Amino acid sequence: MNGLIKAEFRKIFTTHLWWALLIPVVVLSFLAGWGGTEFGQMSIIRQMTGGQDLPTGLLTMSLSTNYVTVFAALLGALAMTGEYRHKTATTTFLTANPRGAVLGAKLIAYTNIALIYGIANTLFASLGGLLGAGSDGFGEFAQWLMVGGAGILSIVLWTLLGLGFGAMVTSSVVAVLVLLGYVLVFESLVSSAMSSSAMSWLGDYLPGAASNGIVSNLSVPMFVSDVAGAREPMVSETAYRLLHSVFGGSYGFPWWGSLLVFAGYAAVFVAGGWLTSSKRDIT
Amino acid sequence: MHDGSGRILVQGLNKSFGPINAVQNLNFSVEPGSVTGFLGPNGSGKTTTLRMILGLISPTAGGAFINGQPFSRLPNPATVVGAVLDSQGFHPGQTARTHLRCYTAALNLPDQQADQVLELVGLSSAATRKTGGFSLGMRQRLALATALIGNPQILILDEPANGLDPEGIAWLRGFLKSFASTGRTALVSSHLLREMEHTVDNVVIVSRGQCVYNGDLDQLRAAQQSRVLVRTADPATLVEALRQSGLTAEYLPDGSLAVPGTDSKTVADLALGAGVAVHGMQEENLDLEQIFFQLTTGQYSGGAPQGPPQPPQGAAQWGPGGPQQPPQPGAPPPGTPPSPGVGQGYQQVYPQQDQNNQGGNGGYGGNA
Ligand SMILES: Nc1ncnc2c1ncn2[C@@H]1O[C@H](COP(=O)(O)OP(=O)(O)O)[C@@H](O)[C@H]1O
Ligand SMILES: [Mg+2]
Repeated sequence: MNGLIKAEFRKIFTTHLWWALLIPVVVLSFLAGWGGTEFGQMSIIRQMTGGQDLPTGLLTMSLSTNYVTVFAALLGALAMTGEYRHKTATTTFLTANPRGAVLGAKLIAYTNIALIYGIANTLFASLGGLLGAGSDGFGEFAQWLMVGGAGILSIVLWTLLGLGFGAMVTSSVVAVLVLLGYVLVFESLVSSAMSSSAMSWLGDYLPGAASNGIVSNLSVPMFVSDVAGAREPMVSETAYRLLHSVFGGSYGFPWWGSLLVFAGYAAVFVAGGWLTSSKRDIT
Repeated sequence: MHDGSGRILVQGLNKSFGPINAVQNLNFSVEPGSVTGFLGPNGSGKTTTLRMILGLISPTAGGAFINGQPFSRLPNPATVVGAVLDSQGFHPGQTARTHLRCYTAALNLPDQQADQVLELVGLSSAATRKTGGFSLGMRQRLALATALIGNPQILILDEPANGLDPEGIAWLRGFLKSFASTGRTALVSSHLLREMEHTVDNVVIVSRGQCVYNGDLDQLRAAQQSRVLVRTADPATLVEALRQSGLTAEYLPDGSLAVPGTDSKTVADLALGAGVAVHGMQEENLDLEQIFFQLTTGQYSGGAPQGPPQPPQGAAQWGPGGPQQPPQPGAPPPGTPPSPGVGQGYQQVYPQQDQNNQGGNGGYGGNA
């Protein structure tokens, strides 16, 4: 098994994909961190809050995480489908028994790459935040660590979900199109259709909302409590809802609830990928 | 665990893809110490069978065993069996060496093994080149190097000669012979017997997913059938005279008769006795390629089987009876394109394309 994991690392680091997808992660993280905190420093808001510095860095870190998870999903999706695309799947499966061992090795190796993505996201979003808001934009160090850590978790889980999904569909084109279509278009259509119905509560349990919630349900309450201080209990629900609508997550939903829901999705797709690739005919 | 025998055993193997029966009740074994050719026209089920042996396709029925175990039960399988099924299996951005080092890592082998197999297949000079720029022949060699990386006891190659130049084929021949001479097992598929004739010791010939011959190549060669081609003014009378002496005859497209299992003297005497003028006579020996063609030509026949298979004398072992064609004296000579409507033989053999094999090219000489 160690050998198989080492083989997966070699496959990753001798090809371009891992850094090609890391570039947009770094750029988007930096821009979200910078642009978002610039917004936070706007004098009008400063006046509204009595000239206080806003810890918008926490919010924009969650914003950037929710932008870049899609690249983590693509990284995962191309892990297995790339083997079918380049027809290396045959040789790969001939070197491992049972086939599930290959998927297991990929899960471990790609978790590590996803950690790199997650750390890069946290660092570059923070760097952007520093430029935009200075060190006051981040609240306490512990808060920064928690939000950054939640972002890393979300990115790792998206990578694993993508990996399982790719192992199920085998076609890289299908995997990429379906993931992009779902994340960028489909889910927002579904949740806005549901929002005016009795089913609106379901929206929080959709994969995209759940993954956004991992970070945002942590950072938005933190932001509010930092800003409001002792007045926190008096902050209106509307203010929370407004922030959630921009930065993701939903009012009153705990971040660990989102984490559990999304981890469930990731587990389902990994299990599905495991089952289908164990049984499938490799022709 | 496996028994280390180096034997491949295929038992009652069946595979259908929806309505297509790709492999039907296949039985054969491949013994160590020899090169076994796995021969059959395109679409006869060779690749499917090899992939079933390697656990990549699950059989609809039956099983395949390597060293007494199904592939899925082999620990560290690449050290037991190496295979080339597809010469395209490389990431174009990897070099030959980085490609191979993914597999030395997977098998817990020292990295120098990658350079050793590259040297073995004559690719050392291309070690640092990206595989995306490799020619087909280089890909075949790199695929072979990949198969050999675990120093396996059994080697399975699917159509390895495709894309190799004559020099490459000669090299492969020498390689396979020396591989087998160390007591190891080589199973090599091809749709061209000619390509493999001087490489293999044993053959398994399949047609339409069924085994039509399994045995020694020399015995198949020894069983070369001869037939007499005779042109006469009155074929009907001659056929009757032949029939009375227990001989059969077939009409050929050019109007002459083909009389199998006899010699020209016998036919001449019979013609004289029947008072039939003979315009020309010729004895014809079927070579190996023709026997192969006749064994497998029934693949594209939609007609009913022409009686039970008649093994050539001395043939080691025949596959179970089935719709495949035995060597038929009426079958067209190899290489002749089908010309519908002339002669019985053609009508029997080429009435229509078999539905299972649409797009087939007549099973002879096509590309893989
Ligand atoms: N994945 C598949 N799906 C459907 N039919 C297949 C598949 N693979 C092979 N076949 C069919 O099975 C038959 C045998 O194919 P194959 O094993 O590739 O033959 P060969 O290697 O001898 O040319 C052919 O009729 C082919 O069309
Ligand atoms: Mg084939």
